[in-house]
Amino acid sequence: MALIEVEHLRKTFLLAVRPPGRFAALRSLLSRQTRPVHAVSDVSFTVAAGELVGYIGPNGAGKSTTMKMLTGILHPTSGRIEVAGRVPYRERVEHVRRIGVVFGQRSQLWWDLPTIESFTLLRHIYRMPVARWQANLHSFSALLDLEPFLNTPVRQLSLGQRMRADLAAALLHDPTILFLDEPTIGLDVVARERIREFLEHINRENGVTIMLTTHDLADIERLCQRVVLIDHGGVVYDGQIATLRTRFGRWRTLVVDLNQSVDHVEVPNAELLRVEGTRVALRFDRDHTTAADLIAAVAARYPIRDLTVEEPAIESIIRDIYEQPNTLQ
Amino acid sequence: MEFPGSSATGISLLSAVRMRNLRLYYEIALRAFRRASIYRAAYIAGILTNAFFAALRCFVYLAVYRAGTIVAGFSANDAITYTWVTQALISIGAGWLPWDLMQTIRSGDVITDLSRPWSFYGYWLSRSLGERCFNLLLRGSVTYLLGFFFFAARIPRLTEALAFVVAIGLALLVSFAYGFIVNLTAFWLIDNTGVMIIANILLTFFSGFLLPLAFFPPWLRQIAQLLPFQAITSLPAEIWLGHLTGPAVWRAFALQAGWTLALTLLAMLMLQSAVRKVVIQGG
Amino acid sequence: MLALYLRLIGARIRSQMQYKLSFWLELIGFALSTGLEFVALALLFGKFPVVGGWHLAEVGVLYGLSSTSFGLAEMVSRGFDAPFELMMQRGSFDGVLTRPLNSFFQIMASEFQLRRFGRSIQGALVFLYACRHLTINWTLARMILVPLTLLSGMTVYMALIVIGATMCFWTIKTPEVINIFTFGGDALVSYPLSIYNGLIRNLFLWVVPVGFVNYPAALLLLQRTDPHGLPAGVAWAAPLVAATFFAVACLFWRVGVSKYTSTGS
Repeated sequence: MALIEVEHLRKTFLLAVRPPGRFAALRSLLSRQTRPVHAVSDVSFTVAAGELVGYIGPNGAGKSTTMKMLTGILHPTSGRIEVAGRVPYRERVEHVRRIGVVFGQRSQLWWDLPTIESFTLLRHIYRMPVARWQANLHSFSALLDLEPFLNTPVRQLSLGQRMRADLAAALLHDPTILFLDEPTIGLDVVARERIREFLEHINRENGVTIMLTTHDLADIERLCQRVVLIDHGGVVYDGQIATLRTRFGRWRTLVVDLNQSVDHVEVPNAELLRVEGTRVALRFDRDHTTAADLIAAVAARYPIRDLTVEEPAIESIIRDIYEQPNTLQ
Repeated sequence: MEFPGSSATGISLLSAVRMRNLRLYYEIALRAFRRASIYRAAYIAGILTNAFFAALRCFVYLAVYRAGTIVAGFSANDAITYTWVTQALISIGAGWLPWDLMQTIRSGDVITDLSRPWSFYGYWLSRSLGERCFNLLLRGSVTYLLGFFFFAARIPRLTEALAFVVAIGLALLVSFAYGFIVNLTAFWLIDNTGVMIIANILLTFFSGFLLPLAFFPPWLRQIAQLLPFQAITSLPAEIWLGHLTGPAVWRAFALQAGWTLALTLLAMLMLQSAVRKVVIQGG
Repeated sequence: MLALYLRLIGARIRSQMQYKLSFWLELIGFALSTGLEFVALALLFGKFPVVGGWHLAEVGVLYGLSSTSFGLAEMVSRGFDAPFELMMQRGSFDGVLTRPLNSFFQIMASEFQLRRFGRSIQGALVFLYACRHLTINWTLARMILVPLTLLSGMTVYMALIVIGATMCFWTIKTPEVINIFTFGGDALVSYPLSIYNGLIRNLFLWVVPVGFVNYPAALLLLQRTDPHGLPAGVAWAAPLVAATFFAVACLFWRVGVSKYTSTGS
């Protein structure tokens, strides 16, 4: 049996609509007009124990809403949801005792207490035996390099430090599942890599099932074998990351600023996307040519002043998926 | 760091009335006025709260006054009217000190305000006036109307009302200057909460907000008369009650004006000193 | 559970006591500013010997009991005030729901403001002063009545604070209107309920029982009778009434939380 089971999950919000016009305020006092927003319209998937799944999609796709329902913060409008045999919103306390949650933008720790004191409080909240707690603390401390700031108040920590502390805090009580909402947001490259290493380690060594939402494609590529791609409240793609990469991740866009404006640019192994004055965008297939080769080819024909190589954003991957729906699954 | 405002602080008053700046201050006041009108729920709640406390005091007065008696020059209706007027005057700062300036000092935002090409005092005064005009016109007056309807609070004669308007204007200036001075102590004290609380106590007690000064024992009353707070609440209220007539009214104005000058001057001096401190120590 | 509560508020108390001077100044400041109410009250009695037939010392009993209770409630349930409002504004209530603890407990344990005890200090002083100037027949029953009344009062005020906070689930900011019942209630019951009109009297006796947990107890202590026929003996029902009112507040909180988990914020 799967660890996480989600079937035809739906969540509809009623958004208050302010009627336009002069007496809008008065009218809204008399009758509340609402408009339904289907944040999650029909989502189904399962996650087996030990998996590391990426849950991705553009802004407003319904990722956070799904995560909130999985963690028990929100209850669904309809549909079935079961985590480790429990319905999250019905048995919140018991459910939450066995999971770990990390919100990228908000800390779970006590703001003006030293980090170690937050950990101690959590030990009592989760009723952990001291020995087990200490073992976890030592292990996470080593893996995440927490030692230097264990005695620093949380509000004085840098974003990277705080995120590492939050991760440790979420795992101290040996949860079977870890839910992460944008864990690498705002972090520098080094910090990101450290966190990815850590997540990979605990998934591989400790068997913690991980489900994370992120905007960073690099997180996905590095960590997940499987992604669930969600857009407009529904699952658009559920499968191996390898497939996603080979199909859509191989395109890159080279944007060059030329010294003079041109009407048309033609270079082998590249498709012209657009020309805006001196700026030219060329799309190329990484499997057929490298960025270096293409740059050389362009430079040979046209004088380059500046250039950038763009990776395909999730949005563009999704756009591509929509354009070629029968290539999915 | 050069503050365009700092050199002008010493003659802030003059710069404040430069025509170009007057327009600016009007805009600031207008914006403060508008901002106060947004929070409808808080607005209604405020009126209800003020009315409640006024009604409470009225019940007490109704219980203590035997019909027709006059105590310390106050009849029962006088006491009732006084209660509603003072509640209405909350809108001009009779009851509580604002903390907003102090908070900008603590957060450091004050530096931005100080480096703008306006009179810092003028900026805060305009804000205060805008916000308090709104509170007075739309909150205080509505509160008073409730007092009129339910407790027969007095409606003054036209001359008294006009004198009241003048008194309010001066009271606003005194109230603002006092609040400004107290808030400004945040420049020197890391945690001036204690000062704020004591200053608030002095204000609410000696202004006549909690109890008409006429009901004070003589020695306390004498102290109150030496302090500026009566200019904020007691004097305007007495004018509204019709207790001050003829030359007494002009004396009251003079007293208010005197305190306005004294406190405003003190505020400007403190501001200059504060700015100097910021420039030298970097805030 | 209790151990965890003590641990959590212990952390809050420790961080408050960090700045000793500030702390003491604020405590004294609160004691003074709340005590100002009684000073004004006492001055009023300087000009008017009785209010509704009650002398200053007798009114002091009412005032002292209510003020002490209110201060205790403020001190303990501060978590439901500014911290909770901030939490709703920032959307960090989610974090509360991801912990394996009752949300009510967590909010209650999130703050314990020692300086609010300043109000209780002045309230207790007024009560003691009043008792010295009165000849109260201190039977065992009366001696038990005082702490019982204080606890009941504290419970009612706490319930009101919780109700005010629960409204945040719908309005984000706590409605100032609740102040009418907390601060207003405290000010109101400082005078004998008999001076108010029927509507207000009944409101604060039976609906928002701030008066119920105060006035009858004073009647018992002072061996007075209520001109409107309220039997002083109901003072012994105060704990029950307070507990019921608190239960209502808790239920209301649960409704608020379920609204939150339905609409997200």
